[in-house]
Amino acid sequence: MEGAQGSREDYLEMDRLSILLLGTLTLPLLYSLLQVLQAFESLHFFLLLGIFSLLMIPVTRYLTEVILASIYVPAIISFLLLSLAGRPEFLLNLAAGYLIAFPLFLLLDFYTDSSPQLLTLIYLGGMLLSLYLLGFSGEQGVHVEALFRGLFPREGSRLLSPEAFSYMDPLFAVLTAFSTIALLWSLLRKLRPMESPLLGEEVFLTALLLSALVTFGIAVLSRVSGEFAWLLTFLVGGALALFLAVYPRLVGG
Amino acid sequence: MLTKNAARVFQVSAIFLLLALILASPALILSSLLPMVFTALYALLAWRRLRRIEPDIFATSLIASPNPALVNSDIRVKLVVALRRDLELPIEAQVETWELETSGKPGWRGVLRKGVEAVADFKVRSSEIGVRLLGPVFIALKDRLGVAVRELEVHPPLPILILSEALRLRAPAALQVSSRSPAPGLAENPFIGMPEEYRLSLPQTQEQPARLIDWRRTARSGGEELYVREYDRLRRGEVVFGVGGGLRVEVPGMGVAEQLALQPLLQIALAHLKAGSSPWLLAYAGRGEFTASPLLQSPEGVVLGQPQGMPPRGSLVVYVTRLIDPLEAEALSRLSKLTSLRLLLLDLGDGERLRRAAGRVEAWYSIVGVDELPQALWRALRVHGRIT
Repeated sequence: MEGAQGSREDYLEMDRLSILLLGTLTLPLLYSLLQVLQAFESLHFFLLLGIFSLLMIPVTRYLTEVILASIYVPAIISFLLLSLAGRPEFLLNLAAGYLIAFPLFLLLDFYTDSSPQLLTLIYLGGMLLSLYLLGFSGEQGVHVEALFRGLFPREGSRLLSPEAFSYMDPLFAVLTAFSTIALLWSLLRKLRPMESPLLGEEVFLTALLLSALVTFGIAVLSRVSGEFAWLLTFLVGGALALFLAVYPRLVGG
Repeated sequence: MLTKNAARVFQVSAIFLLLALILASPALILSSLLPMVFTALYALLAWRRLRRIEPDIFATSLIASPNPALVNSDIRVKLVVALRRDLELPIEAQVETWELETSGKPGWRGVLRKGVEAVADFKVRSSEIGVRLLGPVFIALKDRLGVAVRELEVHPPLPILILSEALRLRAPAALQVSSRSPAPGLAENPFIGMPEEYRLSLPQTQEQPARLIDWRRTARSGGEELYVREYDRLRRGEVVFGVGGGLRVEVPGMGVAEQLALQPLLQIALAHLKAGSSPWLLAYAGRGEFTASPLLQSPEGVVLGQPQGMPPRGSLVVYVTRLIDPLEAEALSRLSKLTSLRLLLLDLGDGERLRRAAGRVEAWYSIVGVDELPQALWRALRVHGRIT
């Protein structure tokens, strides 16, 4: 426990830009968390406890007392209530709280110490889960069981079905745009080997402008023709991957 | 083209983009598309800049001490990289050490500026006798954001002679020349030279050492003039002793072939060194490339100097090999155009294969057994016509 505690960078030690980037990164995840909470029929205390306790772990830097109080105690109580009183709702709500807070937990926990690729994986994985959760916000009177049922294929999985992701909240889209820029900025801060002003780099500005134009163009196109935007994205993604695989061999890289 | 981290970011983004396309999720598409497009475009633009940088802007030195070294003993290695131009470059310098056991980090990572030296100190050792290669030295040149990378080879492999206590290089106290036609670079008498080198006798006015005086000619002149023998210089000792590939095999009852080949090679090389010439050690570095280092006499004893990719042009190269690697045969053909190449092909029961392989190399060759190697080496060195 001490080792884990020692390896985490304190949030107080982060510079202002890192805090700003982390805050921006979490915006869509936080939004989907709030949206899904609104969709529930009623908010169980253990659901909120599950969310709170999971988020407290990275914030308190794996403080032993917090882990004991917020993870072990509720878990033991809910297990006892299930086994002795036959009441599963405590355990289900606690687990649902963990599930809802999981994308945020990962991002908060790994932001400072992770490699660029791990940060990308955590962010995009968190976005995937957030989108899945956001899919419930369009419904009314959601039960916690539905969250878990949607994860399993035999129960009519929603996790990997396009229907679950077709719901597009305009505010969520705006927050996603901001957080994607924050992701890119965070990645560059992690990747770059030397401290030099990014905005002074001609190559950086050109690449940023071009990539923003491509992404924005596809986003606009998707409002006009979803199929065409889909096809164009597929072609752009494939072409880039092919280019990076073939070009260095052609020019002797 | 992409650094490892940037490539992984691209891969993760590409996987999520594919997933987002399957799920038709616009938010996830945009989140994964932007890092992908930016990484690819930036890498292309930055890499075009990196391609303009030539390897010669780096001054590199790779020193192993001691070299020659004893088997199972530590060899201290120092890599120094400096910039010749007024630039600021993020680099990762790495010494290939796969032939040796390494302790310490054989590389350096950071931002290199002119006037600042990148230094890496580490140790290597070998549990086997022979010529082991340290290097080449590669520099991964990164752009300022650490997205694009270009790899440059900035220093050839450094051959390290690993010897046993018995094989330890000690310059011989006296040189024995049994042949009437000694090898080039090998003086019968270090003061006056060999009979083959004699060119002419010139009248001298100053007093000369008696051993340089041509007494017969002086006598013929009636004693009026003093004639002194002048000798042509040999080819400045540019005799190269090479060890090729396929020699790290055990010869039943005799030992490792490389060690058996090295023993007579080094004895002769030392004899050349004693005679005042500077012999070279040539090793096959794989991938059709060689590395050559001069054997030098220093206050600490015999040492191997800084390596070069090829031995001196026009030198006599005596090269022991088994021609296992086809690329080695091609490289030897190229080498034979620049030097006087003498191949000694070590026959370990595969003479027919050696004959076929030797046919592809345009050079003088001789197929010899392990026990015939010392005599074959002397034979290969006695080449009068090659003396310049």
